[in-house]
Amino acid sequence: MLEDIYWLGLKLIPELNNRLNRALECFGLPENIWKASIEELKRELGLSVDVAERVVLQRNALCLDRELDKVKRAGVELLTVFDLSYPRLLKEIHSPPPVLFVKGDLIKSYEMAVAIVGSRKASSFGRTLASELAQELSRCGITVVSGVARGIDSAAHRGALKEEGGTVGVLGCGLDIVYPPENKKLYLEITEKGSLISEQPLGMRAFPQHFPARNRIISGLSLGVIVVEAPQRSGALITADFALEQGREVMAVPGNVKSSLSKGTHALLRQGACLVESVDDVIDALNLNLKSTKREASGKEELLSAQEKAILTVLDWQPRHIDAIASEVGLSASQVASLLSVLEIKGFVKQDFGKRYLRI
Amino acid sequence: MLARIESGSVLGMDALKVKVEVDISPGLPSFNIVGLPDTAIQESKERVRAGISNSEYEFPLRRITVNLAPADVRKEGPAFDLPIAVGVLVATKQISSIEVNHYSIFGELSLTGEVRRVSGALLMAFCAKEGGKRGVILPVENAAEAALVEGFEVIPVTTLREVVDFLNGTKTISPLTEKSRKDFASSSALLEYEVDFSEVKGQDHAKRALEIAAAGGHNVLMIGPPGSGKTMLARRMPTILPAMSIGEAIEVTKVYSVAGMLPPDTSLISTRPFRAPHHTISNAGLVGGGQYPRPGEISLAHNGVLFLDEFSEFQKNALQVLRQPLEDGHVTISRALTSLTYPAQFTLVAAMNSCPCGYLGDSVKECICTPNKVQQYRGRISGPLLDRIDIHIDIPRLTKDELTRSASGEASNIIRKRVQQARERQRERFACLQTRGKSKQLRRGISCNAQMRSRHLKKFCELSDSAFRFLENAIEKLGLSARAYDRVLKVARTIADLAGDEKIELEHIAEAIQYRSLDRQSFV
Repeated sequence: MLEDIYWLGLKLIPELNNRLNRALECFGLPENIWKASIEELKRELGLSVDVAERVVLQRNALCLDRELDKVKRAGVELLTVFDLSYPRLLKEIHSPPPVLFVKGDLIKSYEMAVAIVGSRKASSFGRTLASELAQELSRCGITVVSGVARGIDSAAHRGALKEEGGTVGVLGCGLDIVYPPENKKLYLEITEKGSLISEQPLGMRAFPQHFPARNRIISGLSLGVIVVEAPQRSGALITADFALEQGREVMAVPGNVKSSLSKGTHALLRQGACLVESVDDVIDALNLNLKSTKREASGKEELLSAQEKAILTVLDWQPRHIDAIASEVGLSASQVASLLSVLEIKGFVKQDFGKRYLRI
Repeated sequence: MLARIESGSVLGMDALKVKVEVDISPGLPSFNIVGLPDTAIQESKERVRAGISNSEYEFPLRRITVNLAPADVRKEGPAFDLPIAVGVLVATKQISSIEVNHYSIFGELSLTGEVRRVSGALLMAFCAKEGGKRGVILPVENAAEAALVEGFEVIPVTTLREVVDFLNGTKTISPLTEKSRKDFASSSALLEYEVDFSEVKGQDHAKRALEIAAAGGHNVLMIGPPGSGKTMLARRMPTILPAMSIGEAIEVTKVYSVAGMLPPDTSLISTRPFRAPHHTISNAGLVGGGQYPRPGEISLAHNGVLFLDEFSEFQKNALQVLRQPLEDGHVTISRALTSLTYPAQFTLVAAMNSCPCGYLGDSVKECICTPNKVQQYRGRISGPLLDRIDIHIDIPRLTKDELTRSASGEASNIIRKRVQQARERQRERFACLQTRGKSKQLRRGISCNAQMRSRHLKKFCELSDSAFRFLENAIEKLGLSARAYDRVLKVARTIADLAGDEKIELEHIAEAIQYRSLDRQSFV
């Protein structure tokens, strides 16, 4: 696309990037902005002489063909508000991002997308829950949107990737920057089975001020936002605020009353957010015409031995230490260690840090 | 007038027979020592001169030359004080020279003529016995260790005057007989350690893991927040290792004798050593070395336990030098002039926090580390080193409630009995390996499961069908590495040995997987 080149140019000049929506109103087409003279820039955008001159300097220094080539070689596409495939839901919000960088298969339907967000320092319980919820949404054909951050976000993406529904990761940095670094593999998987989206040009590092802007895209892409584990004043709550502004449904999963990770979600619930226990609650809240298909357990409980069953009865979602389990069931340390391994492989329990086990 | 006295010097873990030759000839009064002596020996002139005159003997005002033969080996330490002094007295005929020839003599002199302890007495006594001497004259503090040598007279002395009187036959000193060997047999039956496993409350999982480690000779890495009891558990590890044989005990005693660290009244170290060096230790301190090489902590932990607390805080190269001794059971220190070998067959028990702040996975306090930092922290322990550690144990901090509730555990000697049985089974199994191979390295064979190489695994770790299927399944589900596969097999072998089973069953594999926590923890 011929226009792409100018869009890219505009994104690469910070002074213009910050005023992109306003510039579009004034000049109409990106080409006009790019080719505007100093006088026009000053008049229409109210830039000072300094800034306008800087814009022109940077403009002349950029070789747009080469920049576009770089983007193409990274396998990244530009998606503009003028494109037909631009997500409809996102277009509806106040100040939608005029250009998006997209990597991976464009999800066919952004119509049915739900965001799952939450704390980066999530508990093992929260991560399991987010992953399960995402997996079931995905199975229903709902796209799961999240921010590829640590904790809940990563868990949600991983859960969604297990099924066919697809997932969209919205980044606060350039698509070629892996942040957090340990998510490198997740990046690849998402681009294979879903897509990564960012408002930032390639090479842009993750700055804290980018994240609220990213959050508005997360909620903007989605019909609703589910918050799993969020302490007070967290990024997830900012996303929820955006969702309210944008008229999207806000949903929250309740947590342990005594955990600080539940403060944010419980505050949302108190304000009238929809309480989510399972995927059915999400479907109801969003008035979707879908049937949830229950996941069959990975193993049948009836087939377990008496000792294995005894261990399962003392476990719940709260992680318990292996010694505590042993003393409650009345088995030796070696027996319990062995049985828990078996149960984990069979998919009934999960190991947390410090040899603590919880039921899944 | 010439006198020749036999003495000894320590070279690594061997003693060297040294002839001290004293020549007194007419001329201007002078005192020279030749034969590559170090500074301490050069200074012994002053001690010998003062020691002799203060013991009210006559110090000759003539030309004295002392030669330490063989002259091409560097000699060190003050142990030559006594033989030089005796040599001077023999050369001046203050001591009759007949008796002297039957004994090897060593000891440090004080200015008053008292005899002080030296290091390496056990080795030098062994050497003197091999050299065909009737006995050894040595400081009284060293007498107990030297008494380990069988059929040998050990003459303990406290002053130079006593030595002279003894050699002149004017005083009898009854030799110390080797009673310690007989004592050993009885003492090993009731091993006395200061600590016991029954004092550890709760932590059953960790205790079980240590039992397996002791039974298979596996090295252990304990991971847990500060104050969770890692040190307490490690300290009790020697108490459940099988009792030492007399040969092992003598080896340990030799190392301590060379290092000069033998407690004065101890003849034989019968309990397994426990060494816990601080993490600021230098390479030389850890593996041995220095200008005059001395055994390092790993050799002091020979046949016992080396506990490295704050494992990841050790200097990186200090940990790297651990690799070779962990593999070979000994360490070779090469210098431009010499190359020495010290034994270092120890069980490594390492402990570290789960993350830099220490609270990752703690149920009460929140961890403030980023996954990256945690990765970096753990990355300080290199893969090859981690490869030599078969068992990882997570040790959580117990809450007050858990502490008061949990019962005290089994006593060490009960656990030790099980360990001993398992070790016996391993010895029988590996007996067939002992004789094969030509080079010394190969012939060494293996004595416990931890020493198995990959080629042994196929032969000795037969899995039942269900166990095999389970292991395949587990590797896929938990994403265990090929590296982990071998370790799991080894540990499972030990668990089966503890249970008395020849074949490795499903439950053994399942339990073994529990002790590989570092292989699987992800941070997402």
